[in-house]
Amino acid sequence: MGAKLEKLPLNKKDKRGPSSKFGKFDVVLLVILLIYALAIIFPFYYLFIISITPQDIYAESPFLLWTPRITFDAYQSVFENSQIWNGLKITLILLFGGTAYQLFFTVITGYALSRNKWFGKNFVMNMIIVTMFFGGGLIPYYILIKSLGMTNTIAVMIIPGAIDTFNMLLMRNYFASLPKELEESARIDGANDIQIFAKIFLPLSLPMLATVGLFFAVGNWNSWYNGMLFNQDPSIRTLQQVLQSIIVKESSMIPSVNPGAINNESIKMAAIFFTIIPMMCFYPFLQRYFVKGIVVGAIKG
Amino acid sequence: MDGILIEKKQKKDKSLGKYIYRSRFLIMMIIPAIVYYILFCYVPMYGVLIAFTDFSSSEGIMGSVFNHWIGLKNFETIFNLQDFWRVFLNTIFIGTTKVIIAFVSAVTVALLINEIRLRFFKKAVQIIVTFPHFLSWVIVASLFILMFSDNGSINQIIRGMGGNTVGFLSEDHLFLGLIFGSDIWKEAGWGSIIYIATMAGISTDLYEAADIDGATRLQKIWHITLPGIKATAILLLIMSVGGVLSAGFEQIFNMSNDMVEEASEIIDTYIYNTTFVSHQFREGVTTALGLFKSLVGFVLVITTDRIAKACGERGII
Amino acid sequence: MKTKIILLGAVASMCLFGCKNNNGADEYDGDKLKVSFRNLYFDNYSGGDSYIKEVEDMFGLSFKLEPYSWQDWTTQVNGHVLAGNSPDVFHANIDSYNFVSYYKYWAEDKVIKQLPDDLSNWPNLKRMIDNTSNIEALKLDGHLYGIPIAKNTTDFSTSFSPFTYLYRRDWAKQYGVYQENDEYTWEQFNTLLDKFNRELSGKRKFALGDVEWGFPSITNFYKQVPHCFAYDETERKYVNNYSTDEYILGLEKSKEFAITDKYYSSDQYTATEGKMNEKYYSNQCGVLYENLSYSNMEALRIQLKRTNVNDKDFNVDDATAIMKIKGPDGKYALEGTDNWFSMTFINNNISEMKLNKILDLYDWLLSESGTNFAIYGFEGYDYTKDETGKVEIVRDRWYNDDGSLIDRVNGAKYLRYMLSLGYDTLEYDPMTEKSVVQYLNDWDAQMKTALADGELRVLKESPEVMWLTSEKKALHSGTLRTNALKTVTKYVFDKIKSINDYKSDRAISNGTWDQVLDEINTVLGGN
Repeated sequence: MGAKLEKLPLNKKDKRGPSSKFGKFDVVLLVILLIYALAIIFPFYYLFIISITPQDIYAESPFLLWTPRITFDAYQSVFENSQIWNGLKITLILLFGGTAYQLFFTVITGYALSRNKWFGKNFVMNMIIVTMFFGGGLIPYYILIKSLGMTNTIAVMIIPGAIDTFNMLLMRNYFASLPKELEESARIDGANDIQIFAKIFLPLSLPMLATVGLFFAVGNWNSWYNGMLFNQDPSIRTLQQVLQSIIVKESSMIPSVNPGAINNESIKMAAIFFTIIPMMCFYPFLQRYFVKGIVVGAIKG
Repeated sequence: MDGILIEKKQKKDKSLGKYIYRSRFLIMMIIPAIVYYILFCYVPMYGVLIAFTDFSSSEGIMGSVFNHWIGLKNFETIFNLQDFWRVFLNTIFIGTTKVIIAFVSAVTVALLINEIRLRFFKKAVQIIVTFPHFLSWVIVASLFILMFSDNGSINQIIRGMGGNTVGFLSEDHLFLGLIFGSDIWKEAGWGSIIYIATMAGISTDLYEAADIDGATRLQKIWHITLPGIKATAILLLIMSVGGVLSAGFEQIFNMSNDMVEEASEIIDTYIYNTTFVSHQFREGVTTALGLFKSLVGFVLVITTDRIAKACGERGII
Repeated sequence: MKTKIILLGAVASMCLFGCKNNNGADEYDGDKLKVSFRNLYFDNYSGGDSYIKEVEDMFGLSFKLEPYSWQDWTTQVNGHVLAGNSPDVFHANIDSYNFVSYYKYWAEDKVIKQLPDDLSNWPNLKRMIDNTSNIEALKLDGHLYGIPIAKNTTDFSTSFSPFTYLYRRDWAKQYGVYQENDEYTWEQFNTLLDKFNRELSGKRKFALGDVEWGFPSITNFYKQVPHCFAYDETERKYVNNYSTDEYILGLEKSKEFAITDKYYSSDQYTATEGKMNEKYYSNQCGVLYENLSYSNMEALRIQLKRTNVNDKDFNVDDATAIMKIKGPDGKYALEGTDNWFSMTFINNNISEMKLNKILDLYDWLLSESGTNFAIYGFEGYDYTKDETGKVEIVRDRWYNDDGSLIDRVNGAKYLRYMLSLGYDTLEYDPMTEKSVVQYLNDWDAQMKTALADGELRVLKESPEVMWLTSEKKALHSGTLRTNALKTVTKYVFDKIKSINDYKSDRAISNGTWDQVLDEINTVLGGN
């Protein structure tokens, strides 16, 4: 099963028959996909336009595809807002600290479960599967977090995420797909399970680690739910929480630096754009890792 | 050190102690996971006892169980609420529709992308359409509200063409459409990846044979590509059944408004609102709500799994 | 098998964990006792000024001050109460029908601390509490579990919360619909809205905006009570306000405004908190229905000045004029609430010593010297006082010599907000804009006269109903009002077409209403 996965090509050359001429069918396809891609892109464009529109133009014009006058004051307001930077700081802590922590526990669990029979494996596996389909609900979870003393801490956004079952199974499937001979020969040399894992399997699975790490990183970048539930302290709000309160709640919380020139809508949009930009920049280069991950993980199930 | 040689027949011969000893390193590696799952998944399951009590936070769970046990009264309370049944049906409807729509849209996008022959274009489209998956609902919801509010760009275009304002955010059915639409916008591209990969794995011999028979491209899609992804599709469908009752808290929490709450409120947002906003229920009632949701979800998964197995497909449990 | 036993053991040990109750021991920062406060009115305050340090030194306390945001205040309070990590002192909204039930629950469940029955050690605090109207309603078995934030007066003029209309007098003058002294008859009000609408439509502007929880404000000119429970004189019992004939008249008028006339922004019904306020100070809205406190007025004025900084002719007084509208019956109508709408609570986990220190602090803040410190600052530095007690401000609080704004914050003033919101010091606080205070007082005086002349209807919730506690009311009343308002909004914006559909809507007419009303009528029946 595993060996086959390696060969699954994603963008392999199309060899489906001789009809390689560009027909009507292709034109229709192309148009549909172009419209689809535009539908994805347009909201971002619109968002950007509003973020650079001055107040007077915004208030007077019903619809904007382009603005006659451009102002970047909204961005300046966002940059000068201490809550945004504080949110960014918290999010970066999650991004680096959280991702490393989650990666460690998820990977060792995935490895242990990928090995052949050992004492208690089935029991642990069943124990994990049950949690995928049954949970205690909000209040018991809340009481647990409370009794662990984790409310109002950054820890609550990291610790409970130690193992993500989906990513853990992804890792397990990947480890299981690596050739068994590697383990056997290492055993003959007298290595134990931990040594085999650290010296042989880990170096071989760097691309997969990157994938899972990226999944965690994105999750941490977008993290707000646990923070919203458990943290009332405004000084440990994540970037997304700050963003949410700018967008939906405290609409006027950012005072404008250049009063009169910008509208509140612009500031909100600038704040959103500010959080999207890093992902927009990195995503095209990292996309293949994400794709690889989900393919390996899901095909095995 | 011959751990790899543990075979079934040998296991009986060796003593349990040796078996454990041989597994000791792997057990060491799994201990954090055991602690983790017990702590964060099983302890809350034990907390569902709250559902049978008139919970008192100063006495804790055990104290409440001994001193404030009220049996099924909390369930009686919720089953007697009109709101509850409305919310429950909303959840089933939204959850089920989402599963179906996610499936159909992902397969459609996969077919479209799979048929594209310009490699560069294919790659670019894939990058663009998978991107929204990585945005949080905070952002996606605000994008959609920006576009679809009564003064948003879509309505401005409609008015510009002489039409009347369409209440995307205020008419129940249109708002539900928006919920499903934003789900497609965000997830269809990402969901298609797995199908594209499966399609790439279909043997090219089949297509070549079809070409010799003079099949059109649509015929090839119908007779070769779609049957080729059937197994994967069914597996993913079963997997998603477990999430039907979750129906997307983050999405609805961020997108909904008072006007459409009646049609869009789901169990999770209802629990959140009654706990933190309206302060309507004591902890016991809210826990009973959560427990009920869990139980129904569990039954759904088991049932689907059995049906799939009965139809000769691979189950998941 | 063995692991199953281990598992059970682990679960059992977690049970004990879950029972653990953390009783906060006093913590010190150096030799200062740490105490944490959380209050809605710390919103604009970040701490660290020399005034707050002085207070800390005076009482040997180290403050941790955190704000709530107005928009999710209740959510935050419920969150930290549920999480068991409430600050030592916190501030909660008590303006909901089911407040009494969770106030009781908090007291029984030892979330909040009982105040000493005998407050004679803290005479200023005692005086304030004793002067608060309707204080008995807040006592459970004779004990008080929190300090209602009072306007500190039994005077009528500030005993209602004046929700009213602000409008752009400058636009009214420009469009030729201005009426002398901002007094409008019902017809003139309609004409003004119509004119505003004509001039503004087609842009991102509109004539009328209601603060989100005040929508639809037009019903005020028709209905008898602000929210759920109206008293039917002929039937001699409480009925659902939302289905009374008066309310429905107001509803029809609101619908006319929204659908036929299009005075409201079409985003009104999806507006989140603060949205209409924001539209108003962004020059996008002509008339705003708002809660008219000094602080709200001040906030609006500051924002309006910011928006219009480039407009040389802009006059902020003209942009925030109070509109005095007589309804179709020729009377003014104002929504009133009780003397207080929020309360300061003390965490049950704190020690008696800390409680005493907090009460000492509160008593001082309400004393003459404390009030002077909070309002004027350091004696001899910020102000001087002669033998007759006349205060002279030595330092200008607003401007430096070069005309730039002084950003000087007095933390003691914010501390004092935990008790009085500053209503009692508004008139002589040098930080307030006297002309605005005067303007509000004038309006207040005019309303008082109107009331005496029978020209003003005050819509007030009956305290008996508000503070009645019963099982069904506790369970349902938290959502009765919000659900009904959703249906009201739907009707106004024509999502519910006919009045019959409205009347038979589940949120307006259902078994829950009947149950709650039955209970209320049983308890309060016969009067």
